[in-house]
Amino acid sequence: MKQFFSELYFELKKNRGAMIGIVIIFLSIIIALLAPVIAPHNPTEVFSDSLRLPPSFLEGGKAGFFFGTDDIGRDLLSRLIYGSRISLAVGFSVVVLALFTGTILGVVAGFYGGLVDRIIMRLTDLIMSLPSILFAIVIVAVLGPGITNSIIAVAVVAVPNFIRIIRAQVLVEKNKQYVSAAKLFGAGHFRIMFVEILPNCMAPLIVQASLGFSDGILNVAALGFLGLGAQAPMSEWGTMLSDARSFIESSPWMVTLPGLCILVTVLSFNLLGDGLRDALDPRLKKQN
Amino acid sequence: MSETLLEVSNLNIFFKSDKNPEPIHAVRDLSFSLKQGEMLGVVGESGSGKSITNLALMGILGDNSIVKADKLHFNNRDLLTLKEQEWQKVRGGEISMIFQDPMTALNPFLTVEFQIVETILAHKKISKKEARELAIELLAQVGITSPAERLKAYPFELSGGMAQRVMIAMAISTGPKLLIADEPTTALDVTIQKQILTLIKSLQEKNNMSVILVTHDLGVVSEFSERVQVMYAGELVETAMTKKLIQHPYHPYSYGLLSSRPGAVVRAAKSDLPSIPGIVPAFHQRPTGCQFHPRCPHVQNDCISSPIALENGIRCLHPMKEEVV
Amino acid sequence: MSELLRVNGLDKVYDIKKMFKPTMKLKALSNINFHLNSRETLGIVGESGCGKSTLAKVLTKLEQKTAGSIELLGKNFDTFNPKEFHSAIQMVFQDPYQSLNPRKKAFDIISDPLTINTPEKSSADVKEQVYAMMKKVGLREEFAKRYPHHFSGGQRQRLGIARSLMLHPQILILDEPVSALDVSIQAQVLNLLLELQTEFNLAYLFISHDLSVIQHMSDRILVMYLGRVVEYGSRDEIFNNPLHPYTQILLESAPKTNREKKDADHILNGELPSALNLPRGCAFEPRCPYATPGCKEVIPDLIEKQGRWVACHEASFAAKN
Repeated sequence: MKQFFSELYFELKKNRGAMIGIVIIFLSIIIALLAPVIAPHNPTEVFSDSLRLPPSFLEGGKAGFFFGTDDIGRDLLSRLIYGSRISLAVGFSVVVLALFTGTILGVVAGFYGGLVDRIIMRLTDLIMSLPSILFAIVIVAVLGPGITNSIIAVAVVAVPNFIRIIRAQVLVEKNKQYVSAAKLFGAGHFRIMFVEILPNCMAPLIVQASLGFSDGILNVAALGFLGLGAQAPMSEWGTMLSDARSFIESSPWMVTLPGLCILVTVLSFNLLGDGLRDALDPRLKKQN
Repeated sequence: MSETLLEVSNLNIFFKSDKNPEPIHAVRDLSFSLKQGEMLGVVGESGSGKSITNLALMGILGDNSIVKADKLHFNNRDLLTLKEQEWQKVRGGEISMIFQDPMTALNPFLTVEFQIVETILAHKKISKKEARELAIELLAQVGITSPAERLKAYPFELSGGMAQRVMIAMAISTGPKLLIADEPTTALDVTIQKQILTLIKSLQEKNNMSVILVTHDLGVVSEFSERVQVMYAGELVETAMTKKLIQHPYHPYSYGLLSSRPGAVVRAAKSDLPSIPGIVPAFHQRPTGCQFHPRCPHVQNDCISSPIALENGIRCLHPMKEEVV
Repeated sequence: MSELLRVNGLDKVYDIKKMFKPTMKLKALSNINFHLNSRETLGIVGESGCGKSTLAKVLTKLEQKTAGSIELLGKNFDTFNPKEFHSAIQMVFQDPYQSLNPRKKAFDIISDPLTINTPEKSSADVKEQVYAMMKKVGLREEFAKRYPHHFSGGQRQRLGIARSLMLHPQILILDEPVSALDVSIQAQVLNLLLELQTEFNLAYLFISHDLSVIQHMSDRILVMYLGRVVEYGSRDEIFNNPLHPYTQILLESAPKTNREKKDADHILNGELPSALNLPRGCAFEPRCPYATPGCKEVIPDLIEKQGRWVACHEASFAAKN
C-alpha cells in the first residue's frame, strides 16, 4: 500500500493541474482547521454600524473588514473562512457515506450477479435517471431542510456512481485466477469480496472519491442556495450566496466572493480527480 | 548466389526514460545480413531484444528511442536516413510484419474486406474493385476456404488460425521483399501452428521472399529455417546454420536453451532436466562483460570485465566443446 | 499403489443463453473416464477447446459437474466437506501474473491457506511453516515481504506452487504450469515439480498443450479432443505407438529439434468444429485422414486396444499407416 501511494505521488507530480489542486485543497484544509485563529471576527457577530461595506481595499471599505460585510453587518472574510469548514466537512461526509454504501452494494452486485445484481442495478438506474439535484430536493423535502439532511440527500444521489464503478471493477477482478485460488483454499465469500477483490479496485475508487468530493460540495451549496440546506445563521457558502442574491447590483462582492470560494474548491478537487485518473488509468500504465 | 537484401551492422538501440537518467541499452552491437529469399530464424526469450530489433527495422519504435548503426541497409537503401514519408512506402510495402496475436492486430470493428482492401489501396494504384478481387485471390492463396464469404466477416468471427491467415494475406498483399513474423504461432495450437508455418514457408519459396521468423521455440526454427541466430539480453550470442547449431551449439546459452527442452533428446521420464539457473537480467540491470556470465556454468574470470566480440558467429570466450546430450 | 481419484462418465454442459435465441447446450466434457493413482502423474493433453481446463475446474469444484460420478480418496466427491476437500486436492494455475493477488505480500499469499483453515495455529507456527515451504520451492526468506510484481515469472510460479502445497494435498492439479514461462525458466520449474512430487508423495494431474513437457512429466497420458477422451494409456504406449489418428497428428505437429526424417507430411487440415454444433458421429471425423462414412454416424466408444484405451472406429487401420 505504501508503495502504491509513493508511485501514485510520482505520477501525480508530473501533472501540474493535479499539483495545483493538491496545494489549494491543502491550503483550504489548513484554513478550515485554523478558522478560529485566522478569522478576524466571530462569523455570526453583527456590526450594526457597518452594513454592506465593500472590501477594505475598495473605496468606502473599512480597515477591520477585509472582504467587507453583508447585509446585516457580519464580516464576510470570517464567514467565508468558517464556510470552508462546512464545505469541506460536507464534502467529506458525502464521500464517506456514498463510498461506504456504494462500495458494499457494488461489490455485492458484482460478485454475486444474478437477481441481487439486477435489483441493485435497477435501483441505481432509477436514481440516475432523475436529475441529481432534483432527486436531492425531493429527499430533503421529505426529510426536512437542514445541513444534515442535505448531506444525506446528496450522498444518496452520489451512491450510484460508486456502485457502478466498483461493480465494473469487481466483474473484471472476480474472474482472475487469484480469486479461484482463494476459493480453492476455502476462503469465504466475505473474505473473497473484501479482502481479495476490493483492494484491487482501489484505483477507480480513489478517482471517484475525489470527484465525489467536489460534487458533494456543489450539490450541498446548491441546496443551501435553494434554502433547503444550511439554515441561518450558519455561514455556508451556498446559503450566503442565496442571501446575497438581492444585493447583486448594489453590493456585488457579497455574491462574488462565496461564488469564487465554491468555484475554486470544486475546481481543485476536479483537478486532483483528473490527475488521479491519469495516474491510475491502467490503460496508460505499462503492464508489469 | 542471390543478392543481399538486408544488411545490419553494429545496430544499437537505446531507450530514454524519465526514471533512469542513463538511456537503457536494449540492443547492443547487432550485425547480421539476410539474402533475398532466405529464411532466418531468430530465437530468444523475453528481454532478448528480438522484438525491438524488428520494430526498428519497421521504423516504428517510439519517440523515446535512439537507433544507431554503422549500416542499416535494406534493398540498397539506407533505412537510417529515410524520412517518414519514405518510411510509409517501405513499411507495409517492401517490409511487412505479422504479430503474435492476430486478434489484437486486426481492428475488431472493421470487416476483413475493409482491412485488406485498405492495405492494398495504400500501396497500389488500382481501383477498389480490383483491390477486392486481389483480396479474394490472396485469401485463397493463404488457404482460406470460400474467401469471398470470409471477406465479409469481422475478426471475432474468425478462429485464431484463420485470423493469422488473414494477417498473412494482408502482409503479402503488397508483394513485400521481407516478411517479419514475430512469434506468429505462439498463440495457436500445435496443429494450427504447423499449418501456419508451412504456409509461410511455401509463400517464402514461391514469392522468393525473405523471412525473419522470430520465436522462442528452437523446435520451430529447426524445422522451418535454414539459418538461425540466438539472442540473449540484447546481444546476438550465436549464429549458425540451424542444423549445425542444433547438433553442436557453442555458446553456453544456446546449449542450455537446447538441452533444457524436455524433448531435446530421449530421456527417461521424470528425470532431472538440465536447466539454466537464474533469470534474464532486466534492461536496467545488465551485467558487464558477457551478458550471460552470471548464469553461465562455465564462467571464467575474463568473461566478467569487458564486452565480448562476436567471432565466427559465437560471442563467447570459452565455447562449449561437447554436443548436446 | 493406491487409487486416489476415479472419474466415471463425467459430463459438463454449459447453457449458453443469448437474448432472443433459444438456450443452447455446450457440451464441454462428455463421458470422461479415468483414474489417478498415488504418486503418479497423469498428463492431460489437447488443444484449446478440448475441455482440459474445464476438467480442472470441475475437479476442484470451481464448477459443478452436470453428470457422472467422482470418487476421491475412496469417498464420494460430493460428500466431502469443504475443509477436507481443500486439503485433498489443490491446483497450480497457468498464469503466474493473474493467479497471485497483486495487493498481497508473498508471505500472506502463502500463509492464507493456513490462516483460513487452521485459525488455531499460532502465528509463530504459521511463520515457521511458510518459511519452510518457501525454502522447499526455492524462494529466499527475505522475499516474504515482497509483492508479486517484484518477482519474475518463474518465482511467481514457485509462489503459486508453495501456496498450493500449504494444506498438504494428495492431489495437485497443474494447469499449464510452465506455458507462460520463458524457455530457460521452464526446466527449473519442471525440475522443482518433480522434486516436490517425490518429497510430498504427490499425485499430479498435469494439464498441458505442450507434448514434450507432457512426455517428460507423465506416467500415463489422457488425450482429449472436443470434450472427449480419444486415447488413454501409458506414456510409452501413446508416444511410441499412438493409435488414434488425432494423437498421431498431434505428435507429428509438435515442432522438434531432433526429427530424424521428414515425416510424410500429415498436416491436419481444417480447424476445430464449434463445440455448440458438434458432428453427430466422431468429433474428429471432419479432419480425419482415415474417416469412413460410418464415422459420421456413430460416436466411437473408448475401448481397450493394444494395452491402452482408444476411441476410434478405424484405430487398427490407422495404426498400420
